[in-house]
This record gives sequence, structure tokens and C-alpha cells, in this order.
Amino acid sequence: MADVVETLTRKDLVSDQEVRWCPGCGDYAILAQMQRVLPELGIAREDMVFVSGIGCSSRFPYYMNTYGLHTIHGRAATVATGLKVANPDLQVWVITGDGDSLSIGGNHLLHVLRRNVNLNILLFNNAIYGLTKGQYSPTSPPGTRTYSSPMGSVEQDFNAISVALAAEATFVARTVDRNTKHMAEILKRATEHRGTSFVEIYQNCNIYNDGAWFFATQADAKDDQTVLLEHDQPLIFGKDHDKGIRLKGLAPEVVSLGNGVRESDLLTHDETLDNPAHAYLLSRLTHPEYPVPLGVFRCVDRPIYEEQVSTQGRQAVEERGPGDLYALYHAADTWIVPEGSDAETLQEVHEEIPTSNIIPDIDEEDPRAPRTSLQQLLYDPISSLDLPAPECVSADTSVAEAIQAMRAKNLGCLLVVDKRGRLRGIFAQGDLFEKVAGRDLDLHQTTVDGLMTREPTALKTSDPIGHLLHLMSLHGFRHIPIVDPDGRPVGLASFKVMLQFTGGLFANEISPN
Amino acid sequence: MNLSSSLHNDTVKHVDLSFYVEVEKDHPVGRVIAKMQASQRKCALVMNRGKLVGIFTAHDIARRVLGQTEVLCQPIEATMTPDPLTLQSDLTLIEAIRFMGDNPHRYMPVVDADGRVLGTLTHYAIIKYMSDHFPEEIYNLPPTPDHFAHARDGA
Ligand code: SF4
Repeated sequence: MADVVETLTRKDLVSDQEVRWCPGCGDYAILAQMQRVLPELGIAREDMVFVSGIGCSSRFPYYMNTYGLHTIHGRAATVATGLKVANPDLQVWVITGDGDSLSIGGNHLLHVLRRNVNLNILLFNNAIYGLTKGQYSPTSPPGTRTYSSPMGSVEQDFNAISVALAAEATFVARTVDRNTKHMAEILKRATEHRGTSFVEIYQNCNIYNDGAWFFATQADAKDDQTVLLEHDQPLIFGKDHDKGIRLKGLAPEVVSLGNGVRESDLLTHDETLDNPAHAYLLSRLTHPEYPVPLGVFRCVDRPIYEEQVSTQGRQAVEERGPGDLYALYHAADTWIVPEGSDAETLQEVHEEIPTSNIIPDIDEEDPRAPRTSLQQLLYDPISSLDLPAPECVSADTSVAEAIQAMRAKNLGCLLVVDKRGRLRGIFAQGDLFEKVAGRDLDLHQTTVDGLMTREPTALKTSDPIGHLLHLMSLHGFRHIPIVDPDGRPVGLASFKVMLQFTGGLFANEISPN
Repeated sequence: MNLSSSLHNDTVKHVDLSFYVEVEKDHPVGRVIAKMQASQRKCALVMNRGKLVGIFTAHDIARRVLGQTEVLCQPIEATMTPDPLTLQSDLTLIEAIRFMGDNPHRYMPVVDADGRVLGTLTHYAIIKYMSDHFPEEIYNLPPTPDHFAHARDGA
């Protein structure tokens, strides 16, 4: 099993479906992170299932090349519970949104949490109904102006973390779409937890609710407006780690460190407390009064639903022998409904509803700022970069020769091509580091064929520069081959090239700003 | 959140400097490599009584270790690059980018004013820092560029 799992790569998890989220939607970042993290978790692909309800986020299962179920509105948690009870070996992920799980599916969410079924729930919270074109949701703050609340909504919003804690959830965490490293850590922790893991992900809907979570994601603001929860550590935040949260009675207060305030005066986080009061208090730290906590609020052990159910099943069979479904159905009062007694056919009533006056007057113009020149650059084609030509070898080159070639020209990698010059693999210093170093291999006898990364992710010259950086910064690819339409390498992008490119962009700037 | 002003105002201590492991100068090369592989770090800072005395990277493995099994049981001291160049933690990122773009070294130890090691600056960490400024254009992309939706609303 371990062998099967180790060969899984990000590419194996990418499906052939066209991704239909709006350009720039935060859902993309979550998908990318899931495809990055899952191969590291040692789960076989045939054991992974993604279950969703209805909403933008619920398209997720189509884009994962795993088993998936796109179910009924609000009922993903319910279907997932059945699945997990029937086959406890599966690794089940519920993908849902604030509409799906906190409106129509609110009840189902509460009960899956309370039952502690061993599955992972990711709630993409964009504080809006995206799929139905921008009505306020249960997490939209009061006063939110939308098509369905033209004068501002008058409803108290839900705090997803508080709801989960009140429903007795055993693992509760929060992360944000744009903090990719943090999201990866939280996804791993959620998988490791035995019991229901509930993860709220602040997700930007750039079409209907752009910027709802910018306080927690903007590079210049996030360190002062969020606090990272770390078990057994004091609550310290701020770009310079100079602020903290202290308790004054039962009320949290923000204090600056120094001037008599020491780290030991601050509230220390403990995610393992059985009493959820501490976690609940943290969940009430909200923007803008407090820095908003990101991380694991609560992680405690409790018996798992499906394990207890199957124990009872086994016990019943041991004590009373295998059951008989027919006998069960006929054991109590049963009766037959005679033919011809079906309900009266309902007459359909069509009533014209006047549409004038009910559609509020909301500015249709795209409220977002026009792209800056740097942003625009990320949409420019890769062909506008000055990329070095790659060094290509054939798959039967020995590792010794390959090392020689890399040393001679001081290269970080070689591209492996077939007879017609098409890209087949990449052989990088990283492969030497991971697969050769410390092992007793005959470098003259071993060919790069056995050690290279096969069919590596490559981009075309017409693809946008942003995608290069996507693969580099999210997936950590140091080298990305650029190929022509026939798959022949024409360039090689690397971390270093991108740094030189950036250095060049700012070359003429001498003083700040 | 303007990248240019961030790069001019933020310093190397504001990027993720955690991509390294620490080893002692008398550790055998094989053990150092195993530690690097286990934590997937391609850079080891070699220490002696809390002081940085050398650096050893994946690059050194490719250049000086592969094909020479006898090296594996020798102390790292003999194979590392001794007295490596270091960067000061108050170097601005724009200066760091210029430096790293021209510099042949992929990994640069970062020290504070008292000479204490804070971590290692890598190309990756700078790219990640810059990408963080453009989440919508860089992170929120489909798995492959041809899957890109060109209009709003995926419904
Ligand atoms: S409507 Fe909003 S949440 Fe839905 S796909 Fe578009 S940007 Fe994403």
C-alpha cells in the first residue's frame, strides 16, 4: 500500500474537467492546496472521496481526480455520514459553503459534528450566496447590501467557529484561502484528527463579495489583524510580534508587550481543553476590535460514531445471530395500501409575478480597481520573459554523465527528451538529492530514465506568467520547462530566473516608493 | 499592499527563513544528508558551539559527494563550504533580490546584529513572499492554464 501511495503526485489528482469558477475566485487556491497536500498524506487515491452539497464550492469534487459525490443542497454531511458508516476505511472530505451548511444544511451540520463521524468538513466561507448571484448569507454581517437586502440585511450573522463549538465539534480550525502555507498545515491537521474535523476557510468571492476577508489576507495588514493560534503558546501577534491578548476577568484585551507587560501575562492557547469555553472565547475575537484567530481552536479526543455503530452491530450479531430483513419488516404492524387511493392530482397554478419594482437598483459596475501594471504583467505570456534555453539529454544518459553535464555548465537540471525532441522528463539536482545521495548506486550503470520525474508539468509560451508563479510558489516547482505546441522544450523557467526578472523590474527604483 | 514599497521597507527577516537544518561540524556527511532528506531541506548550516562555521547544500552534494561513497563517513567539516557569506537581517528585500539574482549561492544564512543565526534565505522564500502580494492572480488559478474560465460565474 505504501508504494502505491508514494507514487501519487499532484497531477494524479487533477481531473480533466474544465474548472468553472469565476476567474480569480478563492476556491482555486483551496483546490490547488488540496491537490498539493493530499499526495503527502499517504492515502491511496481509491480511498479518497469528496462529498459536496450545492453552491460554488460544491463543484469541488469534479475537479479532484478521486471519487466524488455532488449531492443535495445542505445534505453533504448526511450523505458523507452514511458513506463513512458503510465503509469506515474511506477518507471522506465534505466540501461545503456558508449557504450550503449554515442555511439550508444547518441542521445536518450540527448533527454530524455532535456525532463525531471521522470525516473532514471544509466550509468555504465567502459570506455571500455566489451561485445564485450575490444574496446575503448567514455569515454576511448585518447591514450587508445585496439584491435580496437592498437596504442592508437585518439579520444577526453566524460565527461558524462558535456554531461548531456549540455543536460539540472535536476539531475546530480556521484558515484563509490566501495563506497557502497555513492552509496546508490545517488540512494536514484536519486529516490526522480522529473524529469530525471542522475547518472554516475564509474564501474571497471576488465577484459578489470582493474583499470580505482582506483584513486577514492583505500583506500589509494581516499580521496586525490576525493572531496565529499555536498550542501552548501565548497569543502574540503583530508584524513585529509586539502585541498580545490578555484576559481581564472574562474579557480579552489587546495589549502591547513591554512597559511592564510580559509574555507570561498573556493568554496561553490550549487546544486540548475538554471544556470548550476557552475555544469559544477565542472564537468571539472578531474584526475590527480584535485580531481574528487563525489556526486550531480545539482538538480533543472522543469516541468515533462509526466505530461505535459497527461495534454494536457486531455485538448484536454475536448475541442474536445474523438478522433477517424480511422478518424485521413483517415483525410489527404492517398493512397494504389498496390501489386507486393515490392523492388527488394537484392542479398547477401559474401566476404572473410582476418583476418591475422588485429588483433593487444596485450598481452593476465592477467595483474593483483596475489592474496595476504589475498585476497586468502576470497575465502577459511567458514568451515575454527572457528564458535560458534548456539543456536536453536522452533517457539512456547515465547518471554519471548527467552529473558531469550539470557540473560543467553549473545547471540545476536537465530536460529529458525522446527521439523527436519532445519532453519526457526532468532530471534535477533535487532528484540527485532525494534519490541518489547517501545511496550506493553505480552512477555509470544507472540511467536518468529510472530517476527522472516523468511527464513533468510544463507550460506553453502562450501561458500567463502568473501560472509560472502559481506552480512555483504553491507547489514548490523550482524548474518549469516551457514547450512549443508539439511538446518540444524551448525554454526553462527557474526560481533564479524569476528573481532576476523581478530585480530587473525594480532596477530603476533607488529610493523607497 | 504595493509590492514595490513592501520590497523597499521589509527586510529579509520578514520572509520565511526556515528552509534549513542545523548540524554540528563533527557529524558525518551521511548523517547530515539523511537529516536533510528526512526534513526535505536542501541546506544544512554547520555549527560549532552555537556559532556558524559552514554551509552544506544540495549543490555541494551534487558537486562533491555523489560517486564518492567514502566521503559519507567523514565529518561534514571536510566537505562543507567553510565560513560562508552571510546576510544581515536588516537588509531590505529589494537589496536581497538583487543580491540573490546575481549570486551563485541559492542559500544564504541570515544573521542579526549580534551575529546570531536567524535562518537561511532562499530563492523560494522570496518568490513566495512576492506571490503573497498577488493572491488573486497567482494562487487563485485552476490546475492547468487551459482550464481557465474566461467569464464570471462558474454556475
Ligand atoms: S460567484 Fe463568487 S464564490 Fe462563486 S465562483 Fe464566482 S467568485 Fe467564486
